[in-house]
Amino acid sequence: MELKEFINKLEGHSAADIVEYLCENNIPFAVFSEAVRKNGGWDSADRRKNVQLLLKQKDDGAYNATVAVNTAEAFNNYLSLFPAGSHLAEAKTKIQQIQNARLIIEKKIKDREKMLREIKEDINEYTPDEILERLNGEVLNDLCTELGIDTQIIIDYKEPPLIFNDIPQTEEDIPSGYTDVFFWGINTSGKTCALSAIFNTINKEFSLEAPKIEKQFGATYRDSLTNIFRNDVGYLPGRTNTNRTQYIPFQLYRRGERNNRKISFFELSGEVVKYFYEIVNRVELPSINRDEAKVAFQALNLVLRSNNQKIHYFFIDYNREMKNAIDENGLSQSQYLTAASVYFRDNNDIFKKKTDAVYVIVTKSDEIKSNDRIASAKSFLRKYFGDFMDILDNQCNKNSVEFKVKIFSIGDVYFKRICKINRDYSRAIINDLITRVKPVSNCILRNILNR
Amino acid sequence: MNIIIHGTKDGHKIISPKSLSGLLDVTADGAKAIALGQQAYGIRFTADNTIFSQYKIVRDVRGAKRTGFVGFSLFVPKNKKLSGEDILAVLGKVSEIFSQYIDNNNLNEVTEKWTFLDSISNEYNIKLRSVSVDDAENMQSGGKDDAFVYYSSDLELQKYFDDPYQNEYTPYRQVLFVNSNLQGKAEDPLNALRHSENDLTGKIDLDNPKYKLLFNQYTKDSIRIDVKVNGNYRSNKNIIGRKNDMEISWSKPYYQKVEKSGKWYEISSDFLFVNNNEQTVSVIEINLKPETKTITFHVFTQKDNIKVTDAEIKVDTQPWQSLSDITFTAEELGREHKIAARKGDNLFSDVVKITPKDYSAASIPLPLIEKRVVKITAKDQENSADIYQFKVHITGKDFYKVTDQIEFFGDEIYEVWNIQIEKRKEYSDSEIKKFCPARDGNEINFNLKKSKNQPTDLNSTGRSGLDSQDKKRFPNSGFDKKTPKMWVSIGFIVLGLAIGIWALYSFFGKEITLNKWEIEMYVEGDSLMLDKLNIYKENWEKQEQDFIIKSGGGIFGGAENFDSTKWKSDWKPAYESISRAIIKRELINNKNFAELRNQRYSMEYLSLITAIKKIDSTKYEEVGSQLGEVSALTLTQIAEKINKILKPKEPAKEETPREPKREENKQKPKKATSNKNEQPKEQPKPLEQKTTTPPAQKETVTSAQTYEIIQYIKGGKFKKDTLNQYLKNAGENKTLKASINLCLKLWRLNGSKNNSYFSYQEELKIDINLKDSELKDFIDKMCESKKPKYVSELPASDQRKSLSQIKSKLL
Repeated sequence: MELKEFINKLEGHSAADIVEYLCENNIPFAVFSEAVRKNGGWDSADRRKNVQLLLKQKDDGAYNATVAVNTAEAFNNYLSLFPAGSHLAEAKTKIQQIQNARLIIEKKIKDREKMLREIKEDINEYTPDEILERLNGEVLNDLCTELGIDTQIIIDYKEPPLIFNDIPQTEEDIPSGYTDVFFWGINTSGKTCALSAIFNTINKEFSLEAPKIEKQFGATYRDSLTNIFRNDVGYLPGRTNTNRTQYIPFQLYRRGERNNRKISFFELSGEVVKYFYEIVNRVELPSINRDEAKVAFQALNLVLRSNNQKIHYFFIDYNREMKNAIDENGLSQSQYLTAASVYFRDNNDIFKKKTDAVYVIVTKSDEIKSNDRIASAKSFLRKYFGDFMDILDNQCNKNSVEFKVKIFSIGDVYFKRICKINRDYSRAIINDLITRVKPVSNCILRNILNR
Repeated sequence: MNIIIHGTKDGHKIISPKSLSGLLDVTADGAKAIALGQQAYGIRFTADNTIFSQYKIVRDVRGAKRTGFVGFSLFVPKNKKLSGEDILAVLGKVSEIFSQYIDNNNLNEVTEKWTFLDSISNEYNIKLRSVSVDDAENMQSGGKDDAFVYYSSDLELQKYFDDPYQNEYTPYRQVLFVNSNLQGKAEDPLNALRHSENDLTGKIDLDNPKYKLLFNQYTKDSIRIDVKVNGNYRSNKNIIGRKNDMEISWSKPYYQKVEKSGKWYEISSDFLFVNNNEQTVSVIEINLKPETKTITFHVFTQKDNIKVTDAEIKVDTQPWQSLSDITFTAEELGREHKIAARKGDNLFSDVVKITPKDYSAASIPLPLIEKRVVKITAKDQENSADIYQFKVHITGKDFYKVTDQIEFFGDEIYEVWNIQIEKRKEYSDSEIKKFCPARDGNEINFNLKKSKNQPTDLNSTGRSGLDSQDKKRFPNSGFDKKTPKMWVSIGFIVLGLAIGIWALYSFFGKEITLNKWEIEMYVEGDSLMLDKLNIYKENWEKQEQDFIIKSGGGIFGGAENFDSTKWKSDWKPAYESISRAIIKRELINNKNFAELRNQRYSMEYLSLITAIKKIDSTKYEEVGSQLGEVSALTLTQIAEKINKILKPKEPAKEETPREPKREENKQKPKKATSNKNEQPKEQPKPLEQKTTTPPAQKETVTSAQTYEIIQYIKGGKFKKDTLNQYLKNAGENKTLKASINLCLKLWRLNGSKNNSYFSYQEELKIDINLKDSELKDFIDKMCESKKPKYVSELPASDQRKSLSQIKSKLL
């Protein structure tokens, strides 16, 4: 029925009929009411209000039903039924929200798929917290099953606590008769992780005793590191703060052996190693925060100046060199380490008089894709660390110091923070130390006679 | 103002282009990833800047992805101030713009563009307010790991940044501010930021207003004031907080140190004055109690070691008085004092010099030895005219000089001496008289016979050097045996010495350096010779520039500054003293008695002035002509000469009693000389001899003492203690006693009806001795004061001071 005809017969229609007519024909009440007015008007104001009220009830009912369904299709359907309905704006917003959410979900799905793809390509692309944030339980389970990893280890991930100790302040604080072992390397070269693997391996396979000195430097830090691999699978520590230089003296035994070797490890943050470059080249690098580096350097010099024999381990991050060789200062790992070696050459006759051995350790060696990883490591060093290696080689030759290249890995690392320890490399370093460092008898009389 | 961005981007480093020191690696040991995305704020103080930071917990770049941070740090110089609102706005804008380089809490490994830092700096640089050097804070962060504060709203955080200088922050490297919504939650950014367990939440009182500290390091009384705030020394005009811990000390050598400590509102208003309107805290210049030291006098006879309890003591320039001990106060403790004892006119101790602070014994031993002063007079044998300026020679006493009196000590008094006088060229040498002071009394007279060759030049009376008669007196001195060769040698030596002295004089280019004490000693002394006074004056004038301290100027230019404090305090008064002394001496030499009477004199002039005042004004000319030339005489000698001139008025009375006495004295030694060893038995003890003073002499002494006391109370040097002493000695002189009592009333004045300055002024007006005194001048000035302070209100130590010193305290 045409609108005009319907209005002409208006008196014969009930309010419900009128509402039904308006809905069926998508006629807004305002348009209908205006047409009625032009045709002579409503027979009563109450009748107009009744129609209006009934129409609102129908609109609300339809919208509430739509909200319950809460799909874009449902809201579009409502809009088609009530194109001039009272919930028009809300419905349109809802449609937009639903579409946005769908896009986010689609992105998440894509991200997750990407993440899964990337994890399968490089298991260390993401950290446990990123994985837990983005992968739901089922997907994570599937992933871990596929990778052969215990899901619970990822879920239980937490940063290992490290408790640091005071460091020597004066030359008198440094005990004599120890062999000071230095671990050099820029940040992320894996020094702290290597130390934890070494201490844990000593704990498992050798014997370690607290040093007989007044101040127990490094005691809690040593135990913190040892405990990281307490269960073979460990959570790796975070970055070492710039001013967390650590000095860790201890006595090392082979199992069942009476004689001990007095050894102290010296570890300092990678930022401080970069500071060697400024010292040697007398420049100021733009990104160096030298306030704390200087403080750490003072402690370092204290140990370097001591008359104790020294062994130097230079840690080179294989992974880093292959991916991102140059930093903000425009310098490479090789240039920083070369500066350190020049410093040792030129200061306090460190190489000449006090050095027993120098080892260049290529860390994260599991990344070396080769059957002969030692040969590949040497080739890598020749290619990227030529100057550094030449200086060390020359100095060691000149001063009859043992100089060796070794590869190192703490074990299988996944999600950057989780590691299943491989003690082979740590054991090799410990055996080097046992070979290089002369044992001292616990018998006081024998020690006196040996002097 | 500088904005620096730093953080863990492949290790901790400064990420933005500019590099400044003072930034911290805030990564926690074992930083927890769960705090990623959260943020905290920090305040840290370096030597030059206050660093306000916002730290966001992020993962390091892709290589390590270890939990680290990115820090946005705003460096505000200590002499600048930016509101907390603006600081947070700067940090917020920097953080917001930099967030484009953070993806999912991962720091992107990209090259940033930094132009936005300049535009933000420029926008807020104009909002920086300058802080004056006086008001600039000098707080520096300590070395302890960071403390933290949980804040409940942005407004509260803003308040912390508005007022960053809180003493509670100083032990720590930095103080971190964390939203309290995160407290206790795993996401708390403190789980990723290095910090100590020092939670300062609720311990910082932001209502700690800053006031300006005002004090003079040295007060006008030379008291040193030291102020420490929170353990650090602070200077005048430094800023301190209401809750700062203050330590204040007032100190001065020889005074008891006063120390006060606490918050400024805990310290008594006697020591600190807080002006809330002007926001100042002033350290009050308090008076310190002087340190004292009492030393007793142990007076005894050296001869037989008998304790003498009634000896008189003279300390420095104070009059002789009966004292059993003395208390030195304040600066007196550090000065050298001259102390001597006497008993009667015959027993004297040596002058003992002590500096109380260094004197450890409880008493000063003052052994008395007998002293006898023998006057020598000479007369022309022909006309009985008095002869002056003769030389006295005593065989065996190594005594040969121009004098009219000889002092004998101890056993010397009982020995017989050969005494001869001489006045060369005018007179022949006197006979040699044998004289025993104990036996022959206190006077010896010579009659000289005119020599044949009278001198034409009065000045060549042989005051120095040896003449032909000297050579006779010293037959073995070898004068005549000198060979010409030896005379040549001596000539060369003398010439060499002369050249040496000339060279030294030329090299140093200065007269002998004088000090004001030497001048004061001389101008207040007895000799007061005009030529020496003129030399002193000339030298002192040459030293004038040494008393003006110049600063500034020099080769770099700038205004030259002059400090004439020492000139005013030292040079000028001494110069005026010499000038006054020259005038007086010229008046004396010109015998201008009328003018001399009107001059003010110190105690040393007493005998001369007493003598002058005895001269009738009509006789000035006559006495002047009789006196003759006096320029070479000491004041005492002139006084004696005047007294002698005045004596002939009663020749009969004077001569009669003196002659027999002289005869008595002369006769006794005659007996004694036959057996010298028996002398002490036969002679009356010297002490007993002196106790019998002739009435006439007694009268003279009494009037001299009266005059001395009147002069003393007219001047400004009188002290309460000395006045009390004088009151005891004033005898029956009621007028004098009344004057002394009136002086003493000064210490009792308190502003009440009959004890006010006004009532006191009226009393002084009618006192004959005090109407033109310094006391009267002082009281006149006090009466002009609107709210005068009384002596009784001064600290006890000040009340013991002289009138002049009291005046300086009250005027």
